[in-house]
Amino acid sequence: MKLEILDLSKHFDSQVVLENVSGVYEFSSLAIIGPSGKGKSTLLRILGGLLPATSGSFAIDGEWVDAKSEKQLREYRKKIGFVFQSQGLFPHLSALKNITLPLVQTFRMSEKDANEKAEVLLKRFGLFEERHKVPAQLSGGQQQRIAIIRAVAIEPTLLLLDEPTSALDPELSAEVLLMLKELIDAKMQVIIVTHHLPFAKAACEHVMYVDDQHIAEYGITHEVLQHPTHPNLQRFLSKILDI
Amino acid sequence: MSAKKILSWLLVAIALFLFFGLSAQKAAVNFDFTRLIDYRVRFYQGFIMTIQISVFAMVLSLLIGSIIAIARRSNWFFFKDLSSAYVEIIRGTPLLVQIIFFYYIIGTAWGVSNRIVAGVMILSIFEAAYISEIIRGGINSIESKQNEIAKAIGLNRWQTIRLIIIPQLIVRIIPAIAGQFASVIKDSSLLSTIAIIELMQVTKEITATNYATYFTSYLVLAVLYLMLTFPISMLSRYLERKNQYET
Ligand SMILES: Nc1ncnc2c1ncn2[C@@H]1O[C@H](COP(=O)(O)OP(=O)(O)O)[C@@H](O)[C@H]1O
Ligand SMILES: [Mg+2]
Repeated sequence: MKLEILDLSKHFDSQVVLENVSGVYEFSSLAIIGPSGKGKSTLLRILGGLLPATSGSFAIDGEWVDAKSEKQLREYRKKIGFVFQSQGLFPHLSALKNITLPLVQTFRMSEKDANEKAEVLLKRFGLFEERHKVPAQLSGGQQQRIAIIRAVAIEPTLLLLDEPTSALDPELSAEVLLMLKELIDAKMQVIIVTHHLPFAKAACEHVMYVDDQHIAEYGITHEVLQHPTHPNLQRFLSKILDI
Repeated sequence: MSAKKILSWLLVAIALFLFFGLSAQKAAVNFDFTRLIDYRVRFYQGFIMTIQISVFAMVLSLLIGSIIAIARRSNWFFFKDLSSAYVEIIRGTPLLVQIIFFYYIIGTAWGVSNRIVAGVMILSIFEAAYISEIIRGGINSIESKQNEIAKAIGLNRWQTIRLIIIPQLIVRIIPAIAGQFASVIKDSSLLSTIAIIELMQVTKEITATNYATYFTSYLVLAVLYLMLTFPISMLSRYLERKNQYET
């Protein structure tokens, strides 16, 4: 897919998070990396239509998104699956209901069709037995996998994930990352913010490094990680590899 | 309930009974329930009146409380400040004072002459201040994050309120609301001040004419109130436990 960004800026009060970001990026799976607090989540939420940019705009496959029109934004969000860092499920609904809610309410699917669709996915990812549990009865890893199922059930053109494993211990992270790898291998188009470089290397063909209020580096993952040009990225990588 | 638990409650009941029995004996008070037989119809009528007033006040206070809670989140400062002032004034003054002011001054000025209507309104206005705070706390506890998730999956504002906020809000606030309803029942006793013939007023009247029934009447009064508040309190406990998985 093709992501075009034009003069995109985001300020929170006086704080400048993104400043005049522009570029054209073609990828099918993209990892966004960078130090924390530098605007990765902010960029992802803007791309997901959840946060209006202060100025500028972006396009997915040539379709420009008008952040001023809530109506157009709502249509746009229907094409995007979004997975939050943690606690992205509704605590009062079972796993199954969490998945069917957008299908029934947003896509006007019948209850029966929605259930069938959800059950196919639950089976595929080994969570069928868990379908009647509420989030508090599920492990963190299961919660994230349910959240991912909910996001892909709507058959989005693009799946966005904001550090989906950062709140999980390594074992639970592995089951979530494995699931994502499977989806990416099945040609799901994905943008994932992650600290997990081995995963970025193994699953994402492109990588984007966010720092200094813009997209500081972009390219094929293994090339960028092997020959980083930006000094911050070089430092960032050596720091991570040290651990 | 386990046998151990039943035994424990039995011991508590015996201990309480002995303490109050002994106290009554030492104070030379004896309870003669046969003296009250003549008054059973009046007790019954007072009991029914207390239930009626309480039920109306519960419904009305829930309604007013919800409106106040919404007004407090309003973008219009006038409504926001008005509802804040309401909550502070009502919670900061005794119900007895409010009854006197509302009934004798505001009630008279605006022509609310029916005591029962006035009583229900005053009680509702009082309890609504507490209920609105319960609702407000409940709304605040459902993090703004849930709004963003709802947005992400394409729900509109009304769908979010109906399917996400309200179901969670109800589950979270019901135990506290039930507790407040028990207060409504007890607080209704203060309406005897404006001579509404509810349970407390009945007891006052009976004991004023027949002093020999004084302590027995108040004992019956206490038991009758407990009969109403105890089940509510149990229900509230039960709901609280049942909903614990939520957090
Ligand atoms: N809603 C918000 N209001 C104010 N500041 C925010 C908000 N969201 C993020 N920020 C600030 O923007 C900066 C970038 O945040 P974020 O995009 O979450 O960084 P990252 O995901 O890279 O760790 C941070 O300094 C953060 O404090
Ligand atoms: Mg972040």
